[in-house]
Amino acid sequence: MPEYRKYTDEELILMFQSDDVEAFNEIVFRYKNKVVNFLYRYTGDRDEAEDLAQDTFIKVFRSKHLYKEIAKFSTWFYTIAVNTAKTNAKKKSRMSTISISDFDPENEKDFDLKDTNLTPEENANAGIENYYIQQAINSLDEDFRNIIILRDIQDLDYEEIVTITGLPMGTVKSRINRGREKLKKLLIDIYPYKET
Amino acid sequence: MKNEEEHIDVREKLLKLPRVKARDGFENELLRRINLLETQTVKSTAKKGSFWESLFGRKSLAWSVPAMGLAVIVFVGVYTIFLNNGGNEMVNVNKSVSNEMPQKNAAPNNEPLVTMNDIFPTPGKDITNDLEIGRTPKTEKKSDIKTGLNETYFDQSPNPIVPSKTNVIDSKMESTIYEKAEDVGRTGKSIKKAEEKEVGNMNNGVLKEEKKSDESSRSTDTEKKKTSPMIKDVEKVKSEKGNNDVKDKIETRVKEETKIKDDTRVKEDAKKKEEARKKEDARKKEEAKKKEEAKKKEELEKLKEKIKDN
Repeated sequence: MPEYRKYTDEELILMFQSDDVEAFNEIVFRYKNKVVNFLYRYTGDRDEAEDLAQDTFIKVFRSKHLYKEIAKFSTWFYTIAVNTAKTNAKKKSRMSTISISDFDPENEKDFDLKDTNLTPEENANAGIENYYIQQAINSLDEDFRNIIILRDIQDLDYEEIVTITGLPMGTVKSRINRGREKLKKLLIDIYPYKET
Repeated sequence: MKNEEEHIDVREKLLKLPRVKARDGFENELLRRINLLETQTVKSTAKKGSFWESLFGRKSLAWSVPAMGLAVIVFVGVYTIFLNNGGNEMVNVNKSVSNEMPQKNAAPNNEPLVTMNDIFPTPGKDITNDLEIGRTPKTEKKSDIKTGLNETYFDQSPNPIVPSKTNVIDSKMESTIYEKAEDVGRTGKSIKKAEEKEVGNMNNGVLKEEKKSDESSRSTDTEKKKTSPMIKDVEKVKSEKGNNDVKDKIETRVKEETKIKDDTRVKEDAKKKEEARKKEDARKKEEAKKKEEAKKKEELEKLKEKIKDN
């Protein structure tokens, strides 16, 4: 494993394309925390975030041949993660309006009641303020939330966000600005926001 | 950049949010899921395999490959043997049946023919047979039945003509005459003797028959009718012999002509040879003269030279 740390992401995915499974393990090692963090901020649920992160890695595993060296690997990877998160959000919205006759015992997990209480681990990692910030992020529209997380939490470039979302640069910038404004308002309403 | 600066506090807050890390068992869980998916995909691809792959692809059914191969070979062998032998036998059976058919047709109770169609019925044939059960056979149609004075007979199935005793005798006589006449014709000189013998025998037979006919008070016209074919045969033999004599004469004439031609050719050849010899002799004489003259000239020249030297 230590041998693979010297390679770039792009080199690793190329090695994995030539059936080097150790390269994939290195990619998982590098991106598992990033993607879990992104998806946790996107969904607001730790378990769901981990499941979606695993789905993302599985998609990478199965569609490794689709990556081309045109873009950065991180961009391609986050595109997959964003799409996975979006499809999951669509599924969830569909489930909320679904009738009981469509109940599928295999997907019983989707009907589980969400535990809104903080776990001890979450309490340890983040304080109450962080909790409310997360609540504010969750209450943002999907279009804004997505871009705000990518820019302000994952700290990606504008260009990367443009390629991931497929939106024009102007739209991305305006959405970031409007998203921050909304977030600020939400934080003031929900939590007594203190200007730093 | 203005936008960045406007809400920089929000950005800083968001950047300061603690990073959530993946749990310890994340990688193992991921591996487990990947393996599960791979096995599922392998199963699905196995299900999509063709019929032959599903038959022979499994290791547990490895014995089925040679078994199926042997079965196919045996089937093909049996089929070819059946086609080669069985088919001919069937044809022979049909031929024998067809040879027996005229007698069976003559018989009042006809048995049904065994045909290839009966053994290998064509599809839908049973239905037509069922439809024909109520119908009368073709021979029993009123239009086909012809009535005589006191009896009815079928036009399509005439009884075979049974030869009478007299006709049998005639046929035997005819065969003996032809055979012997041919033999005699080959021998040449014994023709007349054979003719006399045959005619004598025949006349003796005829006389015997005439005697019998007189005794049985039958008319001589019928006897003439019986003997007339024999006389015709004798005449035919005679005419053939005459033709042979003419042929012999022609052959002798041709031989004589060929001999004459050959003699003339020989004479002409001899003349030509004599002329050629004469010509050769004349040439030789001329050559000898020329040589003598040449010698004389040389001698003269030598003499002249001697004279000059002197």
